[in-house]
Amino acid sequence: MTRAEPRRPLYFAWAALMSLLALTIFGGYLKLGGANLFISVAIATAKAAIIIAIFMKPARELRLGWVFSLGGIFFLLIMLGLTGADYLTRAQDLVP
Amino acid sequence: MTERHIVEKELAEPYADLRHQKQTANLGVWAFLSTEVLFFSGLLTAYSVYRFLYPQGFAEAGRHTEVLLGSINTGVLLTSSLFMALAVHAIRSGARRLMMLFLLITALLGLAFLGIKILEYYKEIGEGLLPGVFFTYAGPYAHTVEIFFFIYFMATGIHALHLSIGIGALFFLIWRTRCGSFTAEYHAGVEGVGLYWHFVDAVWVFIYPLIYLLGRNT
Amino acid sequence: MTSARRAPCKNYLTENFTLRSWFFTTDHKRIALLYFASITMFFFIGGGAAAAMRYILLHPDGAPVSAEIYNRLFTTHGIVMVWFFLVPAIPTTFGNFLLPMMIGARDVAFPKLNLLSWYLFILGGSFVLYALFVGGLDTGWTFYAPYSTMYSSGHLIAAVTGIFIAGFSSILTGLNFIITLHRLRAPGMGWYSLPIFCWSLYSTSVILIVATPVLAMTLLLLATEHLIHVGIFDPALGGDPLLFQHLFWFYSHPAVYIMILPGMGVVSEIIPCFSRKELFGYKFLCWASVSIAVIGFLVWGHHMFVAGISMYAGLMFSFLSFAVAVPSAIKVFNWTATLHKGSISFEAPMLYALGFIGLFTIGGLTGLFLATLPVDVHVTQTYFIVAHFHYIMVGGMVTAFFGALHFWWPKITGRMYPEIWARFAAVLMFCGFNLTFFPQFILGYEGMPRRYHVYAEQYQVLNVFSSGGAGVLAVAYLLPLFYLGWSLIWSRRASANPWQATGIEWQAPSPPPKDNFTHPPKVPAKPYAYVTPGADHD
Repeated sequence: MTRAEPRRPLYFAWAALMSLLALTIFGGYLKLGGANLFISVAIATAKAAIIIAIFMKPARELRLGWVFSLGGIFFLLIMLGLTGADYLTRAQDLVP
Repeated sequence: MTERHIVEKELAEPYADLRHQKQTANLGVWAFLSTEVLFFSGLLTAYSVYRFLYPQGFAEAGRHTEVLLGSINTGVLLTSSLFMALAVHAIRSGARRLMMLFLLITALLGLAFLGIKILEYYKEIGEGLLPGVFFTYAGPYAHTVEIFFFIYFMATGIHALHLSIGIGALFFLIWRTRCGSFTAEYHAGVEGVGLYWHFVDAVWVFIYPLIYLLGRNT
Repeated sequence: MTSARRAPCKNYLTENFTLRSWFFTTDHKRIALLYFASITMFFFIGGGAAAAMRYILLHPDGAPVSAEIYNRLFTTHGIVMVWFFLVPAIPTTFGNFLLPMMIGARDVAFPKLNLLSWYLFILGGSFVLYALFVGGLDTGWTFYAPYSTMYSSGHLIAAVTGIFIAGFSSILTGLNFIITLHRLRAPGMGWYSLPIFCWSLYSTSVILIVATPVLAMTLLLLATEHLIHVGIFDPALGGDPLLFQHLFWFYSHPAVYIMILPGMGVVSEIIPCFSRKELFGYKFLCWASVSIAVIGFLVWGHHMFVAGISMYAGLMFSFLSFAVAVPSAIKVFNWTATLHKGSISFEAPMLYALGFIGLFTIGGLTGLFLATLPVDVHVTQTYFIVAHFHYIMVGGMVTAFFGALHFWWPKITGRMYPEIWARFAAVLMFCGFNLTFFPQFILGYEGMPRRYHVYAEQYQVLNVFSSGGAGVLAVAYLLPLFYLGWSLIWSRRASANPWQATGIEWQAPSPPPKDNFTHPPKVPAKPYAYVTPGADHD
C-alpha cells in the first residue's frame, strides 16, 4: 500500500501558479522595454518548474526521471543558442 | 475483480514484477515527453527569430490577440492540472471513485479550454487574421503580422491537438476505471496520462506570455 | 567442427508459420527480420536510382534524360537512402535482434511499441513510394525553401507526410532502446559490462529521440507553407530561407551520426573477435560514442557556410566541427590499437570491418577539410561533398552493415554463409567502392558541381571511372543476395558460437528460441575477454 502523501503541496502549487499568472499579466503591461520579455519568460519558467517539480514529480518512480525531464530543455537551449548566434551577428536586409 | 486477477492481467513480457514494469513505464513516458519538448522547439525557434528580426511588427501583431480569453484559458488549464494531480494522488491511496471524479473535472476543464480557444479562433478569423487566402488584415506590418499569426495558429493548434488527445485519454482512463483496471499498487496508465497532461499545461505556460503579452507594454 | 547438425527443435523462426504470427508479432527478432526485408527493398530502390544517375553521367550532355528527370532521380536516391535505409538500417535490424540478447533480456522494454514502429515505417514508406512513383520531387532530399515551397513541381506533401510518419517510427525505436538499456539489463550487468554495440545504440537512440521531432516540426512547417504561402521561409514576404536550413540541419546533421554510430558499434564487435584481443580503451570507446552524439548537435551550421550565415556563426560551427572529429578519431585509434599484436584472421566480417576503418577514416578526414571554412567555400556543392559523405555512409555505414550481416548471420539464421564467396564480395565491394567514389573527390576539387546531369567535357574520364565502379559495386551488393539466400537452404548449420566470440548473444542457440536463451545467460566479468594466442599473459 502506498504511503499516503499530503495533498497540501498540490493546493499550494496551484495557488502559486495562479499568483504567478496574475503577476505575469501585471508585468506584461508595465513599460519596461526589453526587460518585459525577460521577466515574462522567467515567470513562465518558474511556473513550469512548479508544474514539473510538484505535479509531475520526476523522481517519483526513478531518480533518472530528472535527467529525462531536463534533457529536452538542454537541447532546446542549444537550438536557440546557436541559431541565435547566427541571427544576432548578421546584418539583416529582410523586408518587414 | 480481485487484486490477484489484476496483477496477472497487468504483468507483461518481459518484466519480472509489477514494480519494475511501472517504473519502466514511467521512465518511458518521460522519454516521450522530452521528444515533445523538441517537437515544440522548432516553433519556438521560429518565433524567437522573427520576434528578434521584426520587434515592432510582432508587437503590433501581439496586440491583436485576445488577451482576456487567453488569460482565462491559462487559469483554466492550470486548474485542470491541479485536478489531474489530485486524481493521481487519489489512486495512490486506492480511492478509485474519487480519482474518476477528478479525472472527469480535469477533462471538463480541458473541454472548457478548447471551447474558449474555438471562440478565440472564431474572433480572429472574423478579423481576417487567418494566414493564407483569408488573411485580410491591412494594417501596419501586414507581412509580419501574417507570419506571427501563422506561428500562433500552428503553436496553439498543435497544442490544442495535444490537449484533445489528452482529453480523449482521460475519458479512456475513466472507462477503464469502471472496468476495474487501476489499483493503488498499479496505475501506470493514470500516472502516464497525468504526466502528459501536465506537460501540455507546461507548454501552454510558455506559449501564453509569448503570444498574449506581446506588445502590451507600448 | 561440424558434421550434420540439426536446428534447435523450436526457435523463433519455427515457433509459428502463419502470416498472422509474423505481421502481428511482438518478438523483437521477428520484427528485426520484418525490418530487414523492408530496408533491403528500399536499398535496392535507392540503389536503382543511383544506377540510373551513374548511367546518365557517363555522357557530359546528360543524355538521355532532361534535367527534370535527373532532379527527380537524385531526390529519390536521397530520400530513400537517407530515411528508409541509412537511418533505420542497423538499429532496426541488428539493434532490434541483438540488443535484448546482448543484455540478457527476453525482449525490448515495449514490444508492442516495437511492432508499431515497423507499421509506421511501412506506412511512411508507402506515402513516399507513392510520391516517387507518381512523378517524384525535384527538390533534393534537403527540400530547401523557398524552392520547395513555392516553385517545385511534384508531390511534396505526400513525400513529406511519409517522412514525417517514418520519423515517428524512428522516435519510438530510439525510445524503446533507451528504456531497454536502462531497465532490462540482466542482474550483474552494469553499464561497463555492455558491449560497445550497446553503447553505440544508446547514443544513436538519444539522437533519434532528440533530433527527429525537430524534423517533424520542420516538415510540418514546410508542408503548411507549401499549402498557404504565408512567407515564413520566403524572403519576398519577410521570411528567412535560412531559418528552414537551421531547423532542417539541426536534425539532419545529428542524423548522420544516427547513421554511423551503429556501424561503429558493429566494428567494435568484429575487430576484437577476429584479432582475438581485448578491445583497447573500452571506456574511451563508450564515452566517445556518447560524445559524438552530444557534440553532433552543435555543428549543423557547417552545412550553411555559404548560405548566408554570419561569419562569426561560421567560425563557431567550424571550430565545433573540428571538435566532433575528435571522438571519432579516438575510435579509429582504439580499433587500430586493438589490431596491434592481435592474432588476426580475415573472415568476411573482418574484411568488412577493416574496410570500414580505412574508408571511414578517409571520409572523416575529408570532413575536416570541409570544416575548414576556406576549403569549404571552394568545394561546397561540388562532387567533393558527394564523395565525402559517400565515403562515410557507403564506405562506412553500408560496409559495416554487410559486416554485421555476415558476423551475425549464423546467429540469426542458424546457417553458415559460404566463406569464399563472402570474402570475394567484400573485396569486390571495397574495390568497386573506391573506383566509384575516389574520382569524385578529384572531380569536386576540380570544380564539377553536384546535382547537375550535364558537365564540362574535361570531367568525363573520371565520371566514366566512377560509373564503372558503380557497376562493380552493384555486383558486389547483389552477390550476397545470392549466396546468403543459398545458405539458408543448403549451407551447413551453425553452432551457437562459430566465431568463439564473447558477448552474451553467442550463448544462445543458433537460431535462438523465442525467449532468447535456453539457460539463464552467464554475464561475463568484463566484455571482450579475448585471450590472444601466443601473447604474453600475466
